Amino acid sequence: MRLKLIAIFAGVVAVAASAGWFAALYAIPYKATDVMWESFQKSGARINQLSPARVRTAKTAKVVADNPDTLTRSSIIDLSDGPVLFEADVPARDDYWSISLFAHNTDTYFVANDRSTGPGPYRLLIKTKDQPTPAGLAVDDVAVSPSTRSFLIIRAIMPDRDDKPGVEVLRAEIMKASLTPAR
Amino acid sequence: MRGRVFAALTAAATVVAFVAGGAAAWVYTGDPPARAGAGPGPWKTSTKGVGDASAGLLQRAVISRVGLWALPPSEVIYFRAETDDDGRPLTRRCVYAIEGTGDLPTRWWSIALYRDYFWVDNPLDRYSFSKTTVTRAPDGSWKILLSEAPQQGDWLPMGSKDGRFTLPLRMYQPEASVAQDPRAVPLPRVRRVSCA
Repeated sequence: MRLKLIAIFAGVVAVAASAGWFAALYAIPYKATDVMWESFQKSGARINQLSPARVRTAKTAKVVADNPDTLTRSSIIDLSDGPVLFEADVPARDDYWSISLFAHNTDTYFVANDRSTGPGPYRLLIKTKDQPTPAGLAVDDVAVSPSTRSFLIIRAIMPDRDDKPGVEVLRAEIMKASLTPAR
Repeated sequence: MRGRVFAALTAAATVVAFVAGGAAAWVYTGDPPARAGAGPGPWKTSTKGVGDASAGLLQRAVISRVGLWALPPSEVIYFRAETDDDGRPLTRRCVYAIEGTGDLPTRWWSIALYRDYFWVDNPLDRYSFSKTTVTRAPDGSWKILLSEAPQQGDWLPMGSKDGRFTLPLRMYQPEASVAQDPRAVPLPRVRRVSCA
């Protein structure tokens, strides 16, 4: 009888510990995203509005394992009021440019780079699977978000972050990108 | 009476075990094993599940803690080294030479330095060297020095604080061979030159 109780106790504890482990693993990516979104919003980030492109330093970089050689713009995407249209003038450069979209759980659900889009005007519709594409809207790609909220990042390689004039040219190029409600 | 005590004890232990399981996951994902993955010498990478929906629960949680918003391998393959070529953890008490030749099989690459997964603050605001900034010798070879004290040439400052040092090597739009066999990628050496 005693052994049976010990076995039951140990089994329940083991199951509970496993449940805690897996529950935390499930929750951690959401929490990591929420923490960053809160931090961005406290710093002035607005929903569905692209951030400025700044050369980050150790004192200003907030994202873990960031890349010091990319000029980036980002936005929290909220599709609760309908689809969003991303428009960019993709730079014609030797270096890498991309737009990527991350679900609330951090999975990449869409990525396009300058080689796949080609240089020049590029239009991307961002929507949930339940939202229709607005009639008559011409786009190059459609990104279907698995969550109402997600995160957009534009990454452009700076060939040399210390080359201030070169960085300014790149900044001007990627600042042409915009987010607007899709109609 | 005894049954009630057992039930109460089990309920309390269940809560404690659940919290302990969660805490263990938190600790593990914030400090994952340095040698996980595949690659040549001290360099390791995972070419599956990074940054996409094919990731398992553990991999996704680890990446969200130490590589948030990583791109999938079709865009970038992320190698990392936390030791020198002889397997010794990187420390600011030593000087290291990262030595390579020519270019890596990728569109663009860079090598940065993290302490505890963030850039090392330094007056030069220098955190990396790349395909486009590394200084090349006439024979195509290049060398990046890693140390606390300033060095001549391409120097990455390690700062004056201890921590977990990581060299992330990013390969943007790598050739297919990189994902097929990460161990065969001709990545640079990480040679310990001297120690204080």
